Amino acid sequence: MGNCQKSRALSNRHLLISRYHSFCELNMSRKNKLRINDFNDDTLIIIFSMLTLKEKLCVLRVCKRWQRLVKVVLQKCVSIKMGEHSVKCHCHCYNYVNWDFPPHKSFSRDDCGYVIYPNPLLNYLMKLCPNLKCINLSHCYLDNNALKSTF
Amino acid sequence: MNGEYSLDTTEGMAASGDPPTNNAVDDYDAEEALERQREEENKIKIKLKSFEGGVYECGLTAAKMSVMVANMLDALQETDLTKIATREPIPLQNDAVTNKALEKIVEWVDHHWDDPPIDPDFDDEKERRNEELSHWDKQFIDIADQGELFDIIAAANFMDIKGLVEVGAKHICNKIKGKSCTEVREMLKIHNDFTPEEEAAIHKENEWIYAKD
Repeated sequence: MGNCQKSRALSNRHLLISRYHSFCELNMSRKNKLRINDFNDDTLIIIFSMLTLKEKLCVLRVCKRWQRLVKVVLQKCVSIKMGEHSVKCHCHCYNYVNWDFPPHKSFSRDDCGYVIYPNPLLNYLMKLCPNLKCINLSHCYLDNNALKSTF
Repeated sequence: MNGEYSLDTTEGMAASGDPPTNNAVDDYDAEEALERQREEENKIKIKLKSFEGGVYECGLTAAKMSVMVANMLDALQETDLTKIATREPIPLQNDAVTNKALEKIVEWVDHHWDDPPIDPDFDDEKERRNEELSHWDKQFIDIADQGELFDIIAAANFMDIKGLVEVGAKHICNKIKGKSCTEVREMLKIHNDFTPEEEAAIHKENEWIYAKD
């Protein structure tokens, strides 16, 4: 009789312990908080494809994985709109054009105020976007040398 | 008459719709009938179970926004949809699907279930990329805790809810915009694994890009 009770008490204790274990497991299952690099490649590619070209080129420097994935996204890039809307322009391009590469304020300008893109820019873009088919330029200059060396 | 309007999967449900008033079966009528069906179907509630064990109720049409859940339901080959409501909750076996994440996901699909579907023939990524998030989506996704936000995105990705993944992605993009790469690393707690030499090489190649506005 006594033995039987003892073993029941033991098995109850065993049950409690195993419940405790599963409780621990449940709490442990939610390991550390997710970080952005826990996402799979596809999810990160969706994020990067929503950035503008200039932002893509910027986040390319964050870490090696981002660099690799941004380059994958840039493979899909077939057209670029460069330049800006000018006050002298009577078109309505500011209504519908999203510039991929708006000029930075440190870029130099000619006498009329048109922006001059830095020399290595085109080369750099051609290298990163091998499938580029169309470049749309508006109210801006690209250096002759840059054009010659690229095409 | 009704047979013409009902889909195979909703046999027995279609009877609740009104019969068409004239005989001309044009696209408009068919569309309306489909919409009514979706509405009726959404009144059926199914249960989803998170990885942590929490059970959440969700309209059937809303739940089917998850391609994964839709496929699982298809696999049941249940012709009487009302029976689905009484089934065991559908388990979501991925540790990103926490109680909190699933609660938010159910909230999102319940709000978006009657969105027009994305037309794959007119799936212009660039157009959608430039579209602003709606006011509701903005408030929905503005979550202070990064871990929670990432759980929702990872869970939505696991459940294959494209629209929600994009909302999350756009939110992250908005946070990245205008930040230097050092600031991005700090914000998202990313380890910089470039050697100083590699970093200097990239910087030299295109330093004019990183000039801060």
